[in-house]
Amino acid sequence: MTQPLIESGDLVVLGLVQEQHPERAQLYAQWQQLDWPILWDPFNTTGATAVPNAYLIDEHGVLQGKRLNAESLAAFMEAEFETPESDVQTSPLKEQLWQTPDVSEEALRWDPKLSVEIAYWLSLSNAIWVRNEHEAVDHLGGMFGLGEGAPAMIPDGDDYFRLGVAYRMRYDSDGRQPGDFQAAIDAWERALEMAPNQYIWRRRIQQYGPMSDKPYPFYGWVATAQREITERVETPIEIPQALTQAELGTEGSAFVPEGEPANPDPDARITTDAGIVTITSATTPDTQNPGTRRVLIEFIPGSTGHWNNEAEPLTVWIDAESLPEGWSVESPMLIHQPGDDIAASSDEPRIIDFGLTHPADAAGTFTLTGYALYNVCEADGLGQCLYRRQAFEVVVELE
Amino acid sequence: MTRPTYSALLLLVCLLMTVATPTPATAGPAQTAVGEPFPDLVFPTVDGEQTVRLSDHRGKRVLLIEFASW
Repeated sequence: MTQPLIESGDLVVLGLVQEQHPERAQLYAQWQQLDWPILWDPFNTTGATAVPNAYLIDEHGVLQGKRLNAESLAAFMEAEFETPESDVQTSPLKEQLWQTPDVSEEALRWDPKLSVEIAYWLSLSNAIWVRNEHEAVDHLGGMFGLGEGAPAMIPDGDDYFRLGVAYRMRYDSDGRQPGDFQAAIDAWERALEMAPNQYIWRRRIQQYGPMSDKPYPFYGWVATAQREITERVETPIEIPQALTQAELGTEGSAFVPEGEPANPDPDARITTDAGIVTITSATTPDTQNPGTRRVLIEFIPGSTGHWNNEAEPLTVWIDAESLPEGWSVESPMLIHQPGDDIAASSDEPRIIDFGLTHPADAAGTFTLTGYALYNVCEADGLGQCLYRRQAFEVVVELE
Repeated sequence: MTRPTYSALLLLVCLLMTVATPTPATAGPAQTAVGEPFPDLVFPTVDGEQTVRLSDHRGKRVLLIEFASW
């Protein structure tokens, strides 16, 4: 019923999406053929605790309804609204910042709890992706007491959630730093502890978390969307950040051999990678059941190499002896599945994620060890393709 | 890798500063009462091509649909 109203110019429809990764929202809009602008609110600046929501705003900018149904929309369109007096005021501080060309640096000198709070967060994302200013995130983490030393301010749940978004943004940027994804998860955990009924925040953790903590497969629609868009003879929007199995909501991050898999290189005879592939890891808790986590290990060939997809697949082995008593993993061996339509070589980040269980009352810092085997080709030099081994650690901090 | 247009985002930030009001924790535009002015928010579009400010549509009625793609 809205289409005639839109065509007549009487009604503007805007979408507003709560999403860490904007390209995924783009793909969703393409799939659903949404023809109205989709706005991006990664920091949850609306303060919504759940979605979906609908806001009916009149021609003067006054909220006239929050619940959407045919009757309320019809009444909204038929009503006559009077022009209210504006109560918007601009403080001297805002005027000062308005004049500041480098908003991010200037905002960092002010207490983020001031009235420029939302602007601050948005400017921070600008700093991360445009100016490659990594330090801004670390500075903020330090202010909130996530680094060493006492916090400079007492953050609230919004602060922690948005800091987590910033860490994850940096993780997805060219300026990623070791530990960024884990820092995001930790910040979101702190936020949720402060407001357990904030389901936008809870879902952000569950997105990457254990299968047991998923109310539904978060991105299970992606494959269907890509297929149906292709059938329409369109090109699906590309998703640059690889979807983890946790996000897809399917068991097993990779092929898991049946039975008791054997350690593929027990004597470490495969040559160690001299630095072609970078490995990072993070673990995500179950928001409801302590004792279950999702481990994510990411492999990035970077600028110095690319995967040889015609040779041995990326294989991960977890050392059983590194698991404390009462701990277990989904499988000690996981084998990456690149997909049927993969090219002979590629350089995308690869993720293997799997379930981890531990005693619910475990506390402290634990380190799991393991190694990965993979076939990677040098991007320079002789361009040789090499079968290589690299050890890794997964640090699990439990409070 | 596709990135939002952050020069546009910077503009967004500047615009926001003229209208932002003190925001207590876990409060925000979603808590605006019916009959009250809805905050004049500005957001980038997901394709990074532009920013949209709600007051750009002043004079028309706006249906703002907030959702998630997960």
